[in-house]
Amino acid sequence: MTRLDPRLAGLLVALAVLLALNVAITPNFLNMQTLAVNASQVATIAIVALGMTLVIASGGIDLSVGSVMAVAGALAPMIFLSAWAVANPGLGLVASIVLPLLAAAACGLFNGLLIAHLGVQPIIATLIFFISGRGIAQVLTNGQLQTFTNPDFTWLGTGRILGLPVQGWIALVLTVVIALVVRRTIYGRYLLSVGGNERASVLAGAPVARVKIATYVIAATLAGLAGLIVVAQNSASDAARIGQLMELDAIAAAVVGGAALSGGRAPIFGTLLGAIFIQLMGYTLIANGISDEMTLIVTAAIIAIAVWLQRGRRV
Amino acid sequence: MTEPLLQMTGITKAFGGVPALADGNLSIGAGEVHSIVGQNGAGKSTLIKILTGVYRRDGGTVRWQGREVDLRSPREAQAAGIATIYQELTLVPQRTVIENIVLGYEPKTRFGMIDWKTAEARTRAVLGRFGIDIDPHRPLGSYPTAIQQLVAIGRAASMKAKLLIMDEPTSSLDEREVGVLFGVIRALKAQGTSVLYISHFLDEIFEVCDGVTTLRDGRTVGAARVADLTKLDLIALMLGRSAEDIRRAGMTELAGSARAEGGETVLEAEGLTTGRRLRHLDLTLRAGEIVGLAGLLGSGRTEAARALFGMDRPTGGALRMGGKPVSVSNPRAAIAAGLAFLTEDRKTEGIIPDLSVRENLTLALLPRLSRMGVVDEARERTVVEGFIKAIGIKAAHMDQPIRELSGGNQQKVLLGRWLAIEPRLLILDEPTRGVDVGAKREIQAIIRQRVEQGCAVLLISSEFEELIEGAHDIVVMQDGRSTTRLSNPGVSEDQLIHAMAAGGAA
Amino acid sequence: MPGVLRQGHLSVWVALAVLILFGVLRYENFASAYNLSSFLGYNSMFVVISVGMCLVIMTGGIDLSVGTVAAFASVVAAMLSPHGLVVALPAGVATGLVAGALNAGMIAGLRLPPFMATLATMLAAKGAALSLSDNRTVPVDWASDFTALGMNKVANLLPWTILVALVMVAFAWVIVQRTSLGRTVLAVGGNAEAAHLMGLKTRRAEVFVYLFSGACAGLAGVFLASGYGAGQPLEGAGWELAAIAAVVVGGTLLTGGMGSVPATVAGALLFGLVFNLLNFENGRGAFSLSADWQSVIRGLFLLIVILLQARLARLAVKH
Repeated sequence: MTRLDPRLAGLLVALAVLLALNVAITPNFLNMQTLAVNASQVATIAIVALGMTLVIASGGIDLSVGSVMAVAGALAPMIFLSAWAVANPGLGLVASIVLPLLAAAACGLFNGLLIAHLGVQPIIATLIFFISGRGIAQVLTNGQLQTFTNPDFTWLGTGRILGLPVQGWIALVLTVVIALVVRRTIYGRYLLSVGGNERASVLAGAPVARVKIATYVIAATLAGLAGLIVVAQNSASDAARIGQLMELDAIAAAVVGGAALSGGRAPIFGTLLGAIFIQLMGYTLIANGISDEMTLIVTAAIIAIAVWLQRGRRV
Repeated sequence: MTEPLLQMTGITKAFGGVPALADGNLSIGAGEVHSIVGQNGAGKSTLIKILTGVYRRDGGTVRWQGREVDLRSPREAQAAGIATIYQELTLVPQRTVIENIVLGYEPKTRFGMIDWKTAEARTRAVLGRFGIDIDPHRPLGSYPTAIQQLVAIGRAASMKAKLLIMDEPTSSLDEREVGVLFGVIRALKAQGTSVLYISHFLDEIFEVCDGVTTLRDGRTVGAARVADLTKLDLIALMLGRSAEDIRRAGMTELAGSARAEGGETVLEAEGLTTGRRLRHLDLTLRAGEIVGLAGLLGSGRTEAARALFGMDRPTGGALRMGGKPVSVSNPRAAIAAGLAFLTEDRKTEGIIPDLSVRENLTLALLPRLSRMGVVDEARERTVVEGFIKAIGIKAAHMDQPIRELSGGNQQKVLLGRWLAIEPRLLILDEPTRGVDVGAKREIQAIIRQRVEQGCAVLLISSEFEELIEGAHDIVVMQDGRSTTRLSNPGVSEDQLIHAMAAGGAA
Repeated sequence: MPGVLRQGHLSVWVALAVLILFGVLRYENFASAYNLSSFLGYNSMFVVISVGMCLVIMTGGIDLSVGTVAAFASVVAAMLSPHGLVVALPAGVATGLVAGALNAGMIAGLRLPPFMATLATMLAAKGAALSLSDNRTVPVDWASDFTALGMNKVANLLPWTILVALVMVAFAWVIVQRTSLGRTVLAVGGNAEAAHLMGLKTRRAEVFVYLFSGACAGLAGVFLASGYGAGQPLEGAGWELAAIAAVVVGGTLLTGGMGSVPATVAGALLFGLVFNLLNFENGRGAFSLSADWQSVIRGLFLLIVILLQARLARLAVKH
């Protein structure tokens, strides 16, 4: 893909315009603090959106990401606050990162099995965790807000490297890695072909079921990571609110970034730009005095327009 | 002489500049059972869709019941008394039989509410007229296809249709059910309803139809009473045989494929059956040999290929490769066993439209091009370059999205996909269909090359030239059975057509 | 297998009956006027949005906006409550109709996928609700007759809301059973292409179901404000899923083409009953079941139903 996709170019232009607008009218836009705040918020959306892009590329959708974030975010403090982890802080820290990610991956496996082996529609299959995942998380934490002080863990969400937040770097690295995976690996090739024409892919010997399951596992694991970051950021785990409406933001970022809902396209950099665009759009409105609520309406309009534009192009 | 019920004259229709119909004519009398025949691309379905209001004609006239009409939608055609029973179900399987019969035309009470009692009575009446005894309250989908079809006919009849169009009505029926259908058709005829019967089973046309119209290359080339024709006359009309066609020797590039001496048997099928479509397949394929698979539309050729490639599960018979019995359960296993299958429909089963030429070409080869999950792009490019040159694929560069290529070039890429895995047996289903003459020759040349290198090829083609000039043997199929194996050289078109037309259910 | 598809409907009623019996036998106050009236009052909202959702799902679509639209409507109704029921009620329903029209326009008009379109409306409605209410709950005007709808009962037993809800149910039921529009709704979900070829007015049916679902959501919002004394912009989260679950449990396939309005009502009541019983069980002190378990149980329920449906669908289409 050596040529620049015109849609990506369009998005870059829109982004540039938005940036220029902010520089002009938003107070304090160009300082490090603002940049850092925006970067940390974008990071979590971007990480989840990367996984969502892969799922959409396979021709499906994943509604469970927000709930999976909550599950992972609930598990982490439980682990490093446990007696065992306090006694073995090094191992405890590792466990409190690895185990929640494994749990998230298991959720993805559940989704993938329902979809690939039982033929359940992705919307419905992922609806199950959408409904119950948060409840599971809350049951695990007894519905209580867990606060803690654990500088090693919270570094994930509050640390800085070269002035930018850690999670921003993580998001960037993941973007590059996933872009490479899509472009260079056999999995990436199969993913795009399954989404582009499943029948033809079956006939050409693609391991369709395995590809789909892997995709949902990846998406869930990324969501789990995002959950850990949010918890680290706030030094608190509130199962009721982590990842609330994250699936919407992730879908919006992917769609705006150019992913086709019918599958077959995984514009990874586009997703990153899409996440930045949505974040920036929201920030522009809020920083200039427009309410949270209007932001919701604007996001809704953006999603509708992006989906509609896609339809125009496809037909 | 009274005017016929339907008179279509000089119909023309083109799609995006490509003509589908150049001169379509059709004449059906009241109470007549008429048929339209023609091979793929002859313009049959276009003519019918114009008649039923799905398409609008570009030129020509349609006279219905003595008056000129312009039917612009399916609903208008229905209102005029033309009803269609499509091959794919166009009823709603989740709904009951009664509903499907009256849907859209429900009897209403005074208050505008649906009167189910009358609806049921109407349903029972119409089903009774055709001798169909079923519980009309059950969902339509719970009945076998044959019954669903009869319900569709019942619906049309109850809407007082004057002309009933049946599109391939017997493709999923067994002999007994076909008999019931014919009884229904005769009942319709007796009450003055005309039937337009479209089927590729020529024997049926001779059994139940009064007249037949033949289309070829978008034109009506013949309209006659069935009693005045023989099956061979009909096929000749359909295929446009003329002396010069036959005499065109050596016109295809497949000529000259020398059969390798003592080629080992690559694949053997004995009495292979799958469900309804493939009833009995005997086939032997040897290395360095091209076996052609001939037959009229619907004779089971594609079904045979699908069975060999693991797309349909065999319900009987045996399959052996290299002498040992194999069970190929899915395409992935087939590929691993050394099989390749270039399907008929490149749009739905072949190309991945958004991916590039390169990615499409190497799709089946990926496992061999990757190490530890990463694709070796350098090797990939070398392979693709090689094929682009060898097959003559015309693309701006290998990263061009395949959907931007012409049909012929897309076909070449797909051929490349299968050649790339170096199969022992290459199954080709209409490999040169929809491809321009030049590309056709190139594709045929490449196939010949591969065969000379030891590959076995099963060539399904509707083009006699391709088969006769290129295949070492030709297996003829009829009604899902392999009936004759003709040995080349020495097969003439006459012989082939004879073999395709002979026999079958009387 | 004649009854296989009907069986899906029958089993809801059986389950409902069994649970009711269980409740009557096991808990003292279960069969009391208080429990019955508060149960019906609370569930009238879910019954009405489930019916709207049922019709949408019959066409093979989905409406994710019902929850936030209800919340929005509750705010509108609460704000207009000083003018009495005669203004506030239609206003609430009209709010829902506007959302429904938006959905219908995107889905039937612009041919956007129902999931995305109603997702957008869901967000927009939430934003609108928060915006209009200034992020606060909006208390109703107790002086007007507005709260009569939600708080008054007939014979001290049946809240007016459940009666109004039943009117909507009856309306939907008649439409589906006895009108061409209703049959077209079912046909569109079963085989949209066939329905179109048969000459049915498919677009009209699609527009109708989304308008109806919107109206139901609006009505539920009025019930909410009237029954609980305030318009609540943040309520309604997860309502769409409760509605979908009720429809699915009532035996309607998500793929469309079939379904039963009464069975959906039974499904909604069934879900409500499960939690009613759990509350009673809680009260007995045997174990404590938090509200969070609710969503876990709902998810489990849905999973079981989905798996059953997958099996049933395969059996039914076998031919």
